[in-house]
Amino acid sequence: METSINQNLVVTLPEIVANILSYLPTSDIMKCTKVNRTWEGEARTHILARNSVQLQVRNFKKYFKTMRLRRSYHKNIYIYLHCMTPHEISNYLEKLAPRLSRNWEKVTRLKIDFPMDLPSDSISIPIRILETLKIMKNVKSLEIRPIFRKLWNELNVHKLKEHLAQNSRAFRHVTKFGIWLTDVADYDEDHREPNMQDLLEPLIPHFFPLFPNLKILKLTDTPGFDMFQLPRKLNKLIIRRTDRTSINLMTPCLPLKPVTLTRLEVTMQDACPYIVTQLAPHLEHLCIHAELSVDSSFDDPWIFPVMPKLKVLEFWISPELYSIWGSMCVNLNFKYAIVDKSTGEKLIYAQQFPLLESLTVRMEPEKSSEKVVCALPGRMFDVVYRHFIPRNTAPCKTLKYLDIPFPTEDKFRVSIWWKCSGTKRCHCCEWMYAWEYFDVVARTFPNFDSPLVEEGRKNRLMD
Amino acid sequence: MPFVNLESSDGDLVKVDVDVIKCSVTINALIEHLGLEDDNEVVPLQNVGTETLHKVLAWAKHHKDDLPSVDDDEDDPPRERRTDITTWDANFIKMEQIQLFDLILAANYLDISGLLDLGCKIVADMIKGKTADEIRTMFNIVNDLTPQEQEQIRKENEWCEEK
Repeated sequence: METSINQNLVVTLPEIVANILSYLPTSDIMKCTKVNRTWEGEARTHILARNSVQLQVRNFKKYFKTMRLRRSYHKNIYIYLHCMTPHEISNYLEKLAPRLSRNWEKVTRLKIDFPMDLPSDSISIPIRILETLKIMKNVKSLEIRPIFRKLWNELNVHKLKEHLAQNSRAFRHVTKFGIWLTDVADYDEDHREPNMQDLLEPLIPHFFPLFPNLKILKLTDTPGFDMFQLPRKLNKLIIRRTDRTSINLMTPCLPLKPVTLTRLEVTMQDACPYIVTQLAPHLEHLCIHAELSVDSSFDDPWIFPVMPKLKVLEFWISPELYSIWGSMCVNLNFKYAIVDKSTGEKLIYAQQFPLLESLTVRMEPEKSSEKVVCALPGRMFDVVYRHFIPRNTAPCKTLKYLDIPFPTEDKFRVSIWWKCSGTKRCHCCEWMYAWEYFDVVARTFPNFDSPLVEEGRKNRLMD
Repeated sequence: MPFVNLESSDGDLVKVDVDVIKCSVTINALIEHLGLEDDNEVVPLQNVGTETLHKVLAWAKHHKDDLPSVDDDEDDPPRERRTDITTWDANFIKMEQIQLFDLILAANYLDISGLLDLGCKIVADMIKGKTADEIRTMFNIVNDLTPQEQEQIRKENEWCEEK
């Protein structure tokens, strides 16, 4: 009897159900909405926090009508203003405003298109958007997608700067701000300004004063700008390029005082070594995205600096890199600053990353490339084996968490092009037994306690 | 070294090193706020049986020197949490479902987040890939959703699909 009571309690106490659901992928949580009232309530909370909703002129009324009944609003919304005339945008925002006013508490993350139109005959779109944003007093994370069109000119730049200045410190609640520039066709594509990068560059720093408590800045495919104007209290900087061009920094050094910038996320391109090296003494969390780039000036390996405070290191490898490199491994093309020439050790964790607690080396999730990834299992082992667990690496005793691919077959091929004197295009491979890989992992990270690694090592006896 | 006496719901007394049980927010709060300085003082745990209490203490002893885990990025939307567990925990948690559920309830009552998380990871693993019907059967859950509620849920779910 007691047993059934306890079983019943575990699956009826909302706080326990909520905890259980937090370990499920969203697809499973969706199924849990149909179990019973308690499960539905907890599942709904998770889903509304994880997923976002895109509000467009054609769907927003239906959204609010459906969700109003139980006030089940998303925490994360995207206000889509693309392919609309200034008049349509103005109308849409006017109708949206009262609905947002009634539910502003729910929304903590907001993404919004930011058409830079300033037609003289009506209220300017940027002003309208800033007014809409002021309703959302609970938004901590704000991302804008600037859209430039034919009306844009120098006078507009001047006017927008004025508007932004008038709103200085208006968004105290925002701690994360992002600018996301995409090169997408607009309704009047023929008249679209060709060089959005040049247009945006002088504007970027003018957004920062709006957010006096900014801690995180995310710049995606934006142009370079005067980095001395970065907000002072910044804790995390994210600079991503997803359009295959290179990161362009305009000034030769980053502002390092006061030293608040401890987290960096950056695309691995030509400016990446520079930024990482500049911030190396202070960084606690570093995330590098290795992505396809048209930039070819990155042939010489760069020297990965010593990072005395680094606790978390993440590498995310784009599947696209594998598709262009054919059957070869991806070369991250760096060497470590500390190399023991007497023993030939390439990586001495204790000196290179003395506080490292967590290491992630994974393929970037990319839905369109799923086929490529599935067709080529084992590819990622090259990257891990070569750069992070080379044989004869001194143990990294500080590491507790490791997220790398593990082999599922008994043996697999690893590329060894760097061993033979050939070019990167050579196809030299050698077989590696899975147990060898597990063994190197276990010896390199003795405090990473994982049943999977233990089991993998044991299979040696069976070989 | 300070100790505290815990009394299980079966009436058994267990003397525990305060350093070991500090992971329990509930007991920590009792010790701090009620000033249980006398070694003879007894903390009654009405919801935890002797067998479960011993399991809780074994887990707490093994994890007493754990450092706080590295925080996930708070700036990103919450994601599916990691379900990997250590070898020791994997061996520890090998038990019948009855005992597992007792342990989860004890961890919840004593507010030991690490142990509660471990138990919930195991239950989450049982649920993965199951339909709502299968989940209800597995845990004897009664579906108390009315047809109207189910219809509303279906409509809301249409707005909640992953993009």
